[in-house]
Amino acid sequence: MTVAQAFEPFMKNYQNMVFSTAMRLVANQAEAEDITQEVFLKAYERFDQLGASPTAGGWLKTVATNMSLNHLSRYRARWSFFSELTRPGHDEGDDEREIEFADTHDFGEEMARADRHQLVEQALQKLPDAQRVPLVLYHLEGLSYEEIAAKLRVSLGKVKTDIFRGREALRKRLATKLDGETCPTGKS
Amino acid sequence: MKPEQQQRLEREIDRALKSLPELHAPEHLLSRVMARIEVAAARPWHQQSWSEWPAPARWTTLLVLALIFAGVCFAYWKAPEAQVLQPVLARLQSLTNLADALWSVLGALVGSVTGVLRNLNTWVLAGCAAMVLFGYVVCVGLGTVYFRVALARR
Repeated sequence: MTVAQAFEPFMKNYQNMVFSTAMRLVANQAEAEDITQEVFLKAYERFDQLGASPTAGGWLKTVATNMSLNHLSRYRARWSFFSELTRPGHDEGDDEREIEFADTHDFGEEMARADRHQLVEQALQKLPDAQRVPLVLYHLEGLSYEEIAAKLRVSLGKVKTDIFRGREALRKRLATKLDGETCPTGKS
Repeated sequence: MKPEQQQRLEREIDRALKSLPELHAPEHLLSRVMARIEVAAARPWHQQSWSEWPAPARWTTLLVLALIFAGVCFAYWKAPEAQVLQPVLARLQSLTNLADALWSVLGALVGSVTGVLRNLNTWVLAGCAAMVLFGYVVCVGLGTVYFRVALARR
């Protein structure tokens, strides 16, 4: 069996994980495919070490995360700067308004009825980069606020604010979508 | 928002995100990667990256580079004594003189500009600085508009 033949099942085993990591960070199918491809080409170069390693998954995830962040900083270099210019009340909602947690409770129940995963995935991908990236790094990659700040080279305060706004925006997007699903004519 | 509400929201979002299954990678991705691997493998060794070269070839290139470096150092050391190199050295000397002359002209130009600036009114200088600043702000503004309009996520 050649190295290339041995690599094929290895890639089949991990391609969904790598693609998901890239897709949730860059929120663009074509870019996520390119990143996944580059990650596996890198993995092929060191397949002699990775092939049988129990840490291969972790290595692939780290490389996918770093390549996605590099991609974002290279091709969307100004995202952190321009994210400061987002209009209040546009995506994030009005921060000063008290959130009614009766909705959040209903939101949890309604989520069970709807096609939750697809809705969450879509809502996540529609978030602006500045909110989605730290949110994904915190909740899905398990990084701390400090680690995220170091990775994105932004202040700790900005990370906390962006994650908070991201959660809020996600909740509102999901609540709106679920309202639409359960009551197509608009408000119930 | 109250801290307990924030914590509750964090828990809700955490649960929603962590429950997401892995996305399915497109079918063509595997064949794309394998095709790239085949293309890379089909290239002759000397067209691949240096780290992929066979060990004897790598050692040979290192040795050749070291010899070239040693040769250059030796030539630099011995060149002034070699008669055959005198015309070349003379030519190099003339080039150095030309560079010296250019450097003097540049120095004179900088000196005159500095002199003019020193004699200008402070208000004129402040006006120039304000114009440069205005131009910079306009560029940033146009960049922002471009970013918001052209690159907006639809």
